[in-house]
Amino acid sequence: MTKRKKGFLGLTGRQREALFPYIMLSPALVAVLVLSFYPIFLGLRLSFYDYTLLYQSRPFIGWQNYIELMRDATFWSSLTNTLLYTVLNGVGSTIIGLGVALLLNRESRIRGFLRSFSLFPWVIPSVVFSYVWMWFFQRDFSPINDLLMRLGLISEPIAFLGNLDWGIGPFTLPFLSVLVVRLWSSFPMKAVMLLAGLQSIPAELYEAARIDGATTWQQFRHVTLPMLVPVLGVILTLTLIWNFGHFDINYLMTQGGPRNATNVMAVAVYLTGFGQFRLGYAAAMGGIMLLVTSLIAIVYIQMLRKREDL
Amino acid sequence: MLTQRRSKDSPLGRIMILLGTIVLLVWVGLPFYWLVITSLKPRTELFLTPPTWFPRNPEWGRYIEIWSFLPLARYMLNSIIVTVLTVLLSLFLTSTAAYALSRFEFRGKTLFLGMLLFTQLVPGVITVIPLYFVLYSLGLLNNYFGLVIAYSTGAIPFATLMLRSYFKSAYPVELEESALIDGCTRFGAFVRICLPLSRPGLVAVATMNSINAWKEFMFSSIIMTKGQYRTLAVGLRSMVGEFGLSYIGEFMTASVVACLPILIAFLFMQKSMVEGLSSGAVKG
Repeated sequence: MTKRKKGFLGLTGRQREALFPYIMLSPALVAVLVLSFYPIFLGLRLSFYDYTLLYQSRPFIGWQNYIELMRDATFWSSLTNTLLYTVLNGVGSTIIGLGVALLLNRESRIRGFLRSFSLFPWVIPSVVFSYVWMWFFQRDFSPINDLLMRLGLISEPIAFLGNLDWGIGPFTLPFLSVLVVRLWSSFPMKAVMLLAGLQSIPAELYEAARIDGATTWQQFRHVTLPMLVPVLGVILTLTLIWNFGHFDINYLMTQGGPRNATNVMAVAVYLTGFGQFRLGYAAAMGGIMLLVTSLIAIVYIQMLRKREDL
Repeated sequence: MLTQRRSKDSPLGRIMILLGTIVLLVWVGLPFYWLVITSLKPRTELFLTPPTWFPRNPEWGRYIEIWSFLPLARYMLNSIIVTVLTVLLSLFLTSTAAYALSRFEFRGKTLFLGMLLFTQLVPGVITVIPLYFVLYSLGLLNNYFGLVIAYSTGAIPFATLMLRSYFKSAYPVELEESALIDGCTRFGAFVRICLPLSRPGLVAVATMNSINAWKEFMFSSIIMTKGQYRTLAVGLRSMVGEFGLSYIGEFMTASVVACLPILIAFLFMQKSMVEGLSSGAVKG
């Protein structure tokens, strides 16, 4: 134990005491400022320049990138797809996660195994499972097509990731196929969080409900669900944010294609920036994303403030 | 802790539970099953329609050949270096910040918490383009440390908030107070009392960060572009980028090898990780 009472920069004990939290905070603060906030600021600045990596001249062009974005059909379709994926996968994976959490909350011999097993999709790299699913969704060599044909559901094998013939509006076959993979990879986290929520519900509530003669469904409806509302609120907001910026699966499986059917904003930003090297234009797309994110962030922080000691 | 008793289930309920379990097993398991059998199928058997559901002639030798087929050992080494350094750096960054946030009231605390929540919410793709410039000017592209500081910073918000609530409830604060009276410094109390007594929480954070670093693709694909610095995710992806799906067998073999270390680590750590994760995550 060090016993120096004076010494450090000649400060008194009381002054050191007051400085201590700032010193402890400073490494994280510096990292966040330099590697999160400064890049966000740089990106916003970049969005007002015609910055293409291949050209020497990189003039300031004001709102021109944003004006061009408003006329860009690809941008609008990627924005629509992003919002659709965000809502569908956010809500869908939460519902699946709730189902799995209810299953995992029961006593059974394979409970421990099931719990680790259902987290596997979260553990393995998206690069790996994206290509496994891509293989599943091909026209040839695919076990999914094989199963569907054996069951007599289809007569011809389907190219799930290429076929744009069916579907209404944005809900094409490639769109839905990628959605399946997104659901597969994102339900485990929700299941874990909801399982923790389920386990924090006091057993007495169920006892009381049972004494009153409540059925399983009534217990779920009037005890479980209301008790889960706070957790569900946090999960839904987080999932909205995570889905809004999702990149991996859409990029790896289809690169946004065919004909933008699975294009989302994160993929559009990446391809514009590092595929076409139009960094200014890509930064403007990022600017729009930041705007939407900030709106969700304000709601989220307000929600946490009400609930907690922020 | 509550688990509903099985004996109370109606027959209909039991059937639904059984069905749910089967659907879950198949849905999660089929891709893994196909990953493993494809990694063993010889070339002649890979491209068959309908495909074989059990490999007829499993080619176990591929698990040896794969190491010379692509620089898998190099990719693996890169991923290990990046993951280990990320875990260490992020533990340092997040535990110090979390300690300050859990024990002290000071000016700017709310502002910092707001900043953390905000960065947690900003999609990575927004920062990746400007971050490329920042790392370029620091000379940290194609450099382990460049990727490590990007990952560690990305881990700060979630891990700090989680550790903060862990530090608050892990043990009675009086332990630290009596140590201070005995002449221990504040920092000494953090290192000698807080960290050892919060080990489960730290293990949870470390496990989570290591899994995230091991599997991350987007930042790595932009920061580590040179062949010899590629991490596993980017190396595997480049294989498909160059050859399409024609080397799918080799790709799957390499993928199984790439998944094994992290799956094993996960199985060892999962109990503490799930507990720590849920306590931190549910509290926000």
